[in-house]
Amino acid sequence: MPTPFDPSLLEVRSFRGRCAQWLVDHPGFLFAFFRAVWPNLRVCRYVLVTRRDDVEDVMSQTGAFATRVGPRLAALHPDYPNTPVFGLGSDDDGTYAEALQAASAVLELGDVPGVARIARGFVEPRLAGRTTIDAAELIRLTQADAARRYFGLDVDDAALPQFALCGLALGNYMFGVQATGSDTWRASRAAGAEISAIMRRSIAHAPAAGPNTLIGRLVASGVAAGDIEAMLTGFVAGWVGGATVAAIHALQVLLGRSRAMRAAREAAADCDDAALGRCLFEAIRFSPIFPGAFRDCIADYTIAAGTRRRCAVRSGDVVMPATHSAMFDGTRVAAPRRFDPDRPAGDSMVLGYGRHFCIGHAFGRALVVETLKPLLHRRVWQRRIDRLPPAYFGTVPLTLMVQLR
Amino acid sequence: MTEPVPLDANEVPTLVFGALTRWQYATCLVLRFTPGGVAARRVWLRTLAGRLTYGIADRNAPAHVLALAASGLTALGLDTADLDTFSAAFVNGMTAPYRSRALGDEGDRRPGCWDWGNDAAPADALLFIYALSQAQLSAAVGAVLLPPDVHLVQEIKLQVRAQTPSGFMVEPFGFLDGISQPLIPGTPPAAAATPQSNDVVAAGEFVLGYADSHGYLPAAPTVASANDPDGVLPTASNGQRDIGRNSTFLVVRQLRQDVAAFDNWVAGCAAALSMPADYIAAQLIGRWQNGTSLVRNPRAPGTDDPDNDFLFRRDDPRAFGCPRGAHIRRSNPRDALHAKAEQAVRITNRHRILRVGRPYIVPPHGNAGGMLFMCLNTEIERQFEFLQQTWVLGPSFDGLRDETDPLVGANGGTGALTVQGEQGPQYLAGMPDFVTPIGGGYFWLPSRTAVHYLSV
Amino acid sequence: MSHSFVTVVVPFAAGRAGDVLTLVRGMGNPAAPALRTSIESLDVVHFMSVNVIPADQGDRAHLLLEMSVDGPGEAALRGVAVALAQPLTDVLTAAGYTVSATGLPAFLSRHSRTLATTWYGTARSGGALGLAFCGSPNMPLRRIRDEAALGDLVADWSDLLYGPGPALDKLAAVRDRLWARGRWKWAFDAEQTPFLLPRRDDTPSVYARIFLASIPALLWPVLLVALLICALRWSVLHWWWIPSVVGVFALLLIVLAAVLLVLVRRAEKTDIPEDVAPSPQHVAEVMDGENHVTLNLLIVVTRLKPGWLRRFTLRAGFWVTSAALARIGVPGWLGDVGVVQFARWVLLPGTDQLVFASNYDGAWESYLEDFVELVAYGVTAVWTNCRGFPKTFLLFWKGAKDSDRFRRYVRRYQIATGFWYAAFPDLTLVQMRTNAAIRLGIAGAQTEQEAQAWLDLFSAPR
Repeated sequence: MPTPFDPSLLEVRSFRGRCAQWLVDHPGFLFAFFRAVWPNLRVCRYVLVTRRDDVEDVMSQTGAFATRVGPRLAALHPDYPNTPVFGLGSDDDGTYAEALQAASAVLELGDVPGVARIARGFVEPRLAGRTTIDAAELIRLTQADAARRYFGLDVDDAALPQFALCGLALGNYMFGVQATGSDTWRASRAAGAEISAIMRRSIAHAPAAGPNTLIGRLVASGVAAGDIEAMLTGFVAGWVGGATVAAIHALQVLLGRSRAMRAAREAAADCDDAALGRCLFEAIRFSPIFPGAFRDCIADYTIAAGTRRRCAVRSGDVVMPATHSAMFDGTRVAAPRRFDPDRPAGDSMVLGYGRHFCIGHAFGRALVVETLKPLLHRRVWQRRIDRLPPAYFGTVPLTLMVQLR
Repeated sequence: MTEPVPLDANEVPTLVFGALTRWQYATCLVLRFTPGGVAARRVWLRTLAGRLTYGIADRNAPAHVLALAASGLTALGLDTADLDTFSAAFVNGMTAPYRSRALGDEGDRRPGCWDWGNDAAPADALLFIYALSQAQLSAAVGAVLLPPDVHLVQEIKLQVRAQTPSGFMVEPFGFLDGISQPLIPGTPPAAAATPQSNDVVAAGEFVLGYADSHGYLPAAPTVASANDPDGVLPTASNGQRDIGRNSTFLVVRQLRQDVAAFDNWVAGCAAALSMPADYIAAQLIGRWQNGTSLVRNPRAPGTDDPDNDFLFRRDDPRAFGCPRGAHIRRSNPRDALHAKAEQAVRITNRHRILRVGRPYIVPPHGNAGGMLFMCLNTEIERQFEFLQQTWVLGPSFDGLRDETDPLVGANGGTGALTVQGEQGPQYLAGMPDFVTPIGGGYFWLPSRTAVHYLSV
Repeated sequence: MSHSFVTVVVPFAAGRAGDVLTLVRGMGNPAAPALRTSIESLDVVHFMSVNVIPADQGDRAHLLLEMSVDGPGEAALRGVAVALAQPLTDVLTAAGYTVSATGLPAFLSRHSRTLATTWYGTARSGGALGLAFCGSPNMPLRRIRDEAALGDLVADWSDLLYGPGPALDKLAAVRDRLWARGRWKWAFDAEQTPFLLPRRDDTPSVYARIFLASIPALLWPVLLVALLICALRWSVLHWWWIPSVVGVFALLLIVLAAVLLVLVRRAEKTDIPEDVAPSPQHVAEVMDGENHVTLNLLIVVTRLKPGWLRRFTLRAGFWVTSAALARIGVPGWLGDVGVVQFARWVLLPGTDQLVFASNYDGAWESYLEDFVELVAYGVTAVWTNCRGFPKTFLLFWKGAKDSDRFRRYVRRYQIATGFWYAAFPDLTLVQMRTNAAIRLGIAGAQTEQEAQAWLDLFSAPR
C-alpha cells in the first residue's frame, strides 16, 4: 500500500528552495549567456543544449535521444509498460505509431468545443460578484473539473481540490525537471497512485460515466481496463498538470507586462478567441510549462557536428534540450524578447516539438483560453499584499491572489 | 520613351500586319527541296519573289507568304557558318528530341507520328497563299510552278470559319478565336486600340531589327561579308551583313482537334455536376463560346462583343471567375504571376506571340479538322517555347498541383482542371486528349531583301 | 535543421577529361536508378552533381562534386563516399588518382572546399571564394516529403473541401479526418517556415547594419591602416583619438571608393563584350541534358577578367549579396525570384574559372528570364567580372538587362550536365511553399478568413 499523497511535500518554502525555484522560473538571462558563450554546456554527464538549431536537432533524433515519460509512467505501475499508451512516450517508430493511433482515436478533436463549454461553465459562476480571488486555485480546479467531466471520473466536489493537486504533481513528475528519490519524487509517486485508484474506481462505474465521456467510450469499445487506466493516467498528467501550469504562467506573464495584458484584454473584450489564444500562448512563451524536457542519450551522437559548438554525446548521458532557450534564440526567432502575439506560430515550442508534440494541444489551447477569458473580461491585477513570493508547488505558485473589477 | 521606329512596310512580311482573315480562302503548301539543284531553286525563288507580299496586303489581290526552315536555307545555298548565326532553336528545329520533350511532343504526340515536319516528311519551306475567292486561290496555286527539285509534300487547305461581325474566326470547338493579340505600335490594329492597352508590345518582339521591350535590338542572324560581295544586305553592327533585319520567325503546329471527344466529355461532366454544358466548356477556355470573358461574365455569357479589357489578378484575384488553369490564362497570364500589376504585365509581355493561324479542313468531307496554329516571334525560345513549356504545359503553373492545359495538353483521360469558387475547389476531371499535334516546324519569314539575297 | 553545401574540387590532367567525362555521364542525368537508390538511402542529400570543368588555359581540368545536404556536410560526404564508392573511385582513377574505396572519404574531404567571402575564409586551407544560396531554409528532406504527402492527400478530399458552408467548418472536418488517422499529428504542430514569412524591408538601418558587418568581414584592413595612422599621429590617451580613427577610416573609405569607381568605369569602357550566338551543336548538347524532370541543373563556367580589380569586385559583390539576402526580402527568395532551390558560385582555387551551379524549378528560359526581369543587378554584379559579359554600367546596371545577349552568353558558357541527382525531381518550390502553407493552416488557422485563405491554397499559389 503506497503512502497517501501529501501535497505539502511538494511545497517550496525555504529560502534556498525559493532561490532555486526562482532560477528555474527565470532562466532567460542564463540561457542567453550560454547561447552566446557556451551553446552546448556539458557538466559531467549532463548536457545543456541552448541553441534553437541544436534543440530541434536533439528533439528530432528520436533514435539517439529518448524521453523520460515512458520510464516514469512505467514506474507508477508495473503493468503500464505493456499498455498501448506507453508507446506514446516511445522512440520506436512502430510502437509509437500504434500508440498514436490509439490515443488520437480516443481524443477526438470534435470534443474540444464541449470541453471548452465545461470550463466556461465552471469558471464564470465562481467569478460572479467576486473582487478578489485565488487565481491559481481557480485555474487548478477548472482543469481538474474539465478533466473529471470529460474523462468521466468518479471525483466528487469535495475531492476535487485534492485531485487537482494530484494531477499537478503527476504532471510535474512525468514531464518536469526534478531530482529523483527526494520528497518530490515520493510525493509524486503517491499522487500517481491516488490517480490510478480514481481511475480504477471510475472504470468500475463506467456505465455511470455516460457515453460521451472517455471512459464510457473506451469501455464501450471493449478496451481492457488496465489499458484505459494507463492511458487516462497519462492524459491526466498532461491535462491537469500541463494546462494548469500553462494557464498560471500565462496569467503571471500578463500581470507583469502591461502591454501584453492590454492586448489580451482587448482580445477578450472582442470575444476573439483566436487572438486571445495567440496572446496567451505568446505569454506562455516567456514562461513555458517547463524550460525543457530531459532526454536520455541511447546512442552516441554529435550535436552540431561540423561546427565550432560541436558536442559529442555518449550513450547514457542526459541531455536537456532547453526549448525555453530555443524560443529566444535571436538567430532563428525575430525579435525574441518582444511580446508579439502575431509572430509565426512555428517560433513557439510551448507545446513541444517534433514527435512528442503535445497530443492534447487542441484541448490545452481551448482550456487555457476559456479559463482565463472570464478573468480578462474584468480588469485584473495582482493584489499588492501578495507580492511576497507565495509557496510554490512544482513550478507554479500555490496561491495567486488577484483583484478584479 | 522614344517614339518607336515604324515598321518598314516595303520589307516586313505581311503576316506581321495581320492574319489576313479577309482572305478567307487559303492554303499552305508544304515543300521539300531535294538535294542539289541550288541554282534551279534560286531561279524559282526569283520568280516567286515578285509575288511575295510585304506590308499591308493589297485588298483585292491574293497574298503570298514564304516561310523557310533551316534545312531550306541550306538547300538554297546558305553557308553553314552563316546558318549557325540564326537562333539555335530555329537551326535545331522543333523536332529535335530535347525540344520535343520541352514542347510536350512525346508518346503518341512525338514527331514520328506526325503527318509532316518530321524525318519522314520534312518541310524545307511553306508557301502560304491567301485569296478572296476559291477561283482566285486555284489560279494563284496554279501560277506557282514548282520546279522538279521542289516537291509538294502536302497541301493543307485552310479556311476561315464563320467570321463574326467583330472580325474574329471561330475555331473548330466553336469558340471565337484571336481575341487577345499583342499590338505592334504603328500597325493598323494598334492604331485602333487605346494607347494604354496592356497588349501594346514593342516591335522588336516580333520583327528583327527593331527595339524590343527592353530597348535592345534582338540578336539577329548575319552573313559573313565575304558571302555577300555585292552588298545586297545591310551592314550589321558587328561588321557582318544583316540578313535578319525586317524578318521574323514563324512557328507552325498543325493541331488535330477531336470535336466529338470534346463535346462528349463536356456533356458528361455537365451531367455529372448538374451544370450547363456551355459553362463547363467555358471553364476550360476561360471564355464563353461567343468570346466574352469569364473574368467579366462569370455566370453566363456576356451579350456584348468579346471583351479583352481585363486583368486576372486585379479583376479576379481569387480566380472565382476564370480558373487558374484555363487556356487563356495559361497562354497569357497578364498580371497573374506577380504582385505588381504593371511589372507583371511587362514581364508577361516578354513572352507574347502574334497568332496568325486558322482552321484547316480535312479534304474528303471538308470539315474542319483542327487548327493550323501559326505564330510570329523574334526569339522562339523566349516566346513560343517558353509559353508552351512553362505556361501552357507547366504542371505547377501559378501554383496548380499537377495539371496541364485542359485544352491542348496531353490529358490522356486523366486530365483535370481545378475550378475555384465560393464553395471551395472543384475538380473537372477525366479529360481525354482534345488536341493532338500532327505536324509542324520552326520557320523563318525573310524580308524582301533577304529573299533577294537568297535568290541571286 | 540547417543545410550544408559540400563542394569538392579535384584538379586533374586536362588530357584525361574525355575519359572522366564519359564515366561521369555514365552515372546518369538524372541519376541512374541504382545510384539514386543509394543516395536516397542516406536521407540527407537534396541535390548532388558531379561535373567536369574543362581546362581553360594550361592543363588542369577539374572534377566538381557539389551537394546540398541536411545537417553537417562532412557526415553527408562520408555517406556519399560509401554509397557511391564504386562509380566515384572509377571516375577518380580515370582522372589519374589511385584511391581505394576505404580511402575515398578522406580523399573527398581533403578536396572539399568551404565557400567564403571574407579574406580569412578564402585564405585558409580548404577555403574558396564563393557564395551559397538555399531556397528552402529549414526544410529538411523529411519535412518536404511529409508535407508533400499531406498536401496531395488533402487535395484529394474534395468531399470535404467543396460544398456550401463556412471554410472553417471544412478545415475542421479535414482536421478531424487527419487527426483520426493518427500518423498526421505532426501536421498540427506549426514549424518555422522562413520562405512564407512577410518581406523584410530595406530600411536605412538595415543598410547601416550591413555596413557595420562589412568591417570585420572585408574592411578591417582599412580600419587597421586608420588605427596605425592615428596611433602614429596622435596619442592614444587623448579623448579625440577614437573620433580621429573614425574620421580617418571614413576618409580612407571615401578615397578607396572613388579610386575603385574610376577604375571600374575605365575597365567597363574598355572591356569587350562578346555578341556571339552559341553554336547550335553546343545548344543541342546542353539541352539534351535538360527537361528530363521538372527541375533542372544549370552549370555555367566563365573566366574572370584579368587583374586584381575584378577579384576584389567579385568578392565584394558576393559579400554584399549574401549580407543583403540575409537581412532583406524573404528568406529563400532571391529578391522576387522564388524558383532557385540550391545554388552556389565558386571560384575554382588556383584558376580564374568561376562556376555557377544552380538547381532550379522549371525551364531554362523561364529561369533566365526571371534573372533578367527580377534580379538583373544581382547577376550582373557577379558576371560583370567575367570575360565577354554584355556591357555593364558601374557593376550593377545594364548587363543582364540586355536579355537576348545575356541569354546567349549563359548558353555559350553553360556546360552539359554530367551526373545529377535531385531528391524530389518534380517538386517545385511553389508547390513546396503551398504544401507548407497547407500544413501551417491545419496547425494554426483559426478564423474564417484564415480558413478561407487556406482553402484557396488548393488552387492558388504561394
